[in-house]
Amino acid sequence: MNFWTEYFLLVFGALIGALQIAVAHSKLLGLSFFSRRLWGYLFGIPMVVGSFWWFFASSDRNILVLEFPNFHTGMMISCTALALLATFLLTLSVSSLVKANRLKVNGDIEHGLEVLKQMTYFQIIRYLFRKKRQG
Amino acid sequence: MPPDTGLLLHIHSLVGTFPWLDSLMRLAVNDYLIPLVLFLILLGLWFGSQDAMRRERNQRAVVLAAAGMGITHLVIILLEGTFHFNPWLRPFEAFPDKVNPDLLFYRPWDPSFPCHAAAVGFALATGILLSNRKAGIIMYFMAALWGFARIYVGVHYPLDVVGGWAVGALSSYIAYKGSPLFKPLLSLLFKGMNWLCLADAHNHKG
Repeated sequence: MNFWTEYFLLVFGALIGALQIAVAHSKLLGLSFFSRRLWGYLFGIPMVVGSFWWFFASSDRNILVLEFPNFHTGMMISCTALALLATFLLTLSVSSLVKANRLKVNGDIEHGLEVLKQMTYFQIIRYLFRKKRQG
Repeated sequence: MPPDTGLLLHIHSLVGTFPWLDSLMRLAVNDYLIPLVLFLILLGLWFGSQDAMRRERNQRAVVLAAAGMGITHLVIILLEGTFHFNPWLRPFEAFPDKVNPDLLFYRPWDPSFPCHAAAVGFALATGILLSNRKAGIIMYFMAALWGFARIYVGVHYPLDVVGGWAVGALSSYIAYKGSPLFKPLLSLLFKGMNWLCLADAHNHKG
């Protein structure tokens, strides 16, 4: 596998795990894959540790990267940004699908992360579309 | 030749003495481990607080830390690309018989001063420290470990790391102090992200 693909997978795996730990701690259930916060920690910690373990155990990483050596910093930033985008897309989709029937919309909502304590992202989008249609 | 050459040679002479220290420094010096851990801490600060006001303060700190890192990169590009500032050779170039980084790392070809790793690490850590003491201290420790590891393996002098700290810390301080000038832009950014439910913006409303 190409080095930058492996780096992308490292960042992607670590971000997924870290995000599940963070939303478990902050009770943002609408972003969590699980109904109980404990499962968020039990999933997130091995995900982060496992990603690092796999990346560093699979090959010597203290060597000069031969793919795009003159654009090393740019490639790191690009792969990290792509992994962050992929993490958000996956997290928003999976949490919305898993929690579709478990979280209910109650009354009017405000924006911001706080609303994700009660709703999933897809529920927020559906709510905003309905509100726009109603005028 | 920088004045702290003796200190570098003393630290680098420890390589091979304590296997556990070599293993620790081998991990710490890596280009990907500590930067990614710092990034995960930033993600945790963005999403991880139960209190919305505290979360918003942390999010603002993350944005300013990122701005500080951006200023750091610009300064380094100016120093090296425009002014060709390169006061001394890398330790393994100046002392090939005494400094051998090949045991634990590779041989970078960019200028020795300032240390890029230290500049980036301390820029992020300072940006966070100015708003969140606890997280900032943890990040400072990680940045210092990363910088020390670079000295240990023989690719930087201590003065390179101090120079990196100065560039990074000053860049983030400038971003922090200059943020009132960019308040309209920051407000717009946070309002937009608030609307998308990706950030909190209680203090940026109206």
